Amino acid sequence: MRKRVFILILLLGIAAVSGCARVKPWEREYLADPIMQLDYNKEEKAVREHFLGTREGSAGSFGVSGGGCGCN
Amino acid sequence: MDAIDLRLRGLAFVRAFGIVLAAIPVMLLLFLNKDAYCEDSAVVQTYVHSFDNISVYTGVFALNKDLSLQTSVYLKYAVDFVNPDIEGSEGGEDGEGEEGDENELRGDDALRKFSYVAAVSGASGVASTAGGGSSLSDTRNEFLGGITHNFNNIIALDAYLDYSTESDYKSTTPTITLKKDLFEKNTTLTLGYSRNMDTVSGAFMDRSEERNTDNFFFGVTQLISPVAVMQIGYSLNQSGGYMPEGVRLVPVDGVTADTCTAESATCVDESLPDKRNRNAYLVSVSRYFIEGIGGFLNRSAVKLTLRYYDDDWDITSYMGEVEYYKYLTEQAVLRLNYRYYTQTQAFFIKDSYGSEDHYKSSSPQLEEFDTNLAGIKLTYFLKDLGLPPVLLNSIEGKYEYYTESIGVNAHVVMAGLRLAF
Repeated sequence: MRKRVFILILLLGIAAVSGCARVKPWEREYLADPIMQLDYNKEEKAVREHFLGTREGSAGSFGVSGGGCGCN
Repeated sequence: MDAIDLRLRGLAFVRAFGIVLAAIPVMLLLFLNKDAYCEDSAVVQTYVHSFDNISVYTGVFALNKDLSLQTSVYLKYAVDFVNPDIEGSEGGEDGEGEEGDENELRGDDALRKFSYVAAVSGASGVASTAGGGSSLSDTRNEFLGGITHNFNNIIALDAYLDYSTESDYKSTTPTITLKKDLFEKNTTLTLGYSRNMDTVSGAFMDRSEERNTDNFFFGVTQLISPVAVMQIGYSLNQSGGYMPEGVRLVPVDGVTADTCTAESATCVDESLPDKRNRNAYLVSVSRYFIEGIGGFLNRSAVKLTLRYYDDDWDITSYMGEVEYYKYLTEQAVLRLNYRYYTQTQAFFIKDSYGSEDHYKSSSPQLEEFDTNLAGIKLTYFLKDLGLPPVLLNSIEGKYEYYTESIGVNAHVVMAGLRLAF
């Protein structure tokens, strides 16, 4: 049930953004700010995902994975 | 903690930091030239993950070099030093310390530290079953190299190869990712595939075993407005082969864990299904605030991330995270973050096992538990100091506190710097 609710939220999110207005290149000053970058510090992100991935029983959906860890 | 502990911790930290620092001039000599582009950069970071009685010291060095406007290369080296903090548990990197029996842990200590070591870094402690003890120091090295090429702004291709090795685990992972911009770059589609080819040779294994995992990833990044962006992702991971880690024993038929330090009829290897299919769904939204709430939101950004996960071992998990970024000054950025995670247990997890049970596990990662992670980070961007060709671009430091409902706590400390050239 909770999975269905989550997927429903996901689909609603997709529907919501599909109709949004296009952002022109000259309107992206704030989107280009380092604090808005989704992948600004990928080294820190990789260390963090590795640490949490080895502590927790689930992983994924943060991009394709690499560097196996011998963990469940 | 006595003086010896402090000295050992200090040495491990210095070793991790020293290795990555030593790599800087070598890499710069290789990569610096008169055609350097503005995006060329190098990153040096050190981490300490400190648990109750074990610490992992990590050093990371990464270099990004633009070969042309369409092509860039990326190299990374990371090293983990696993360093038990209990006096007398300090062994050599290969687990064969010079102090002989003093390096051995017994009973609960050994089992608990196996749990920490294997789970902290993936560097699974080397166990010496002879004498029933364990020495848990280990080193994990990771090398990553890749190239990114943009084909005439039509499609971008990332190709990476990742290799990591430790005393009882080797992994090779080629990765390929395609990115396609649509609608004046308002939408980016990402399609990725990687394959983990792992060799497991844990201390309680008679021979090496193979495990392969195919990872598929699909993502959409969508600009919502001039101040908001959304990301949606789905990943499918299909694993097959030897699934245990080979470093844990399972007590059966009424034997207690504290007596289970060597393989026997009542202390047996973990036995897990030889296949696992995992699904993960992710939604993330980032919003920039120009001003608001009495200055609290002035020049700030908030990022919300939700992830749902399930697999055919019946583990279901939910993760929610919020990150708050704020410019304290023109050059200083503060980050506050909080993450909550909860998961159910695998279908074969039991309080105790009998010989007749087909699947047996003592892995805490497969149990039901919650985790919390909270942290603070400060990044300071430096102005152009006019010292070409290498410029110190930023320095950063963070502290995070991590806790699990099954009684594990950790402090995470990071320091790093970014060079531009």
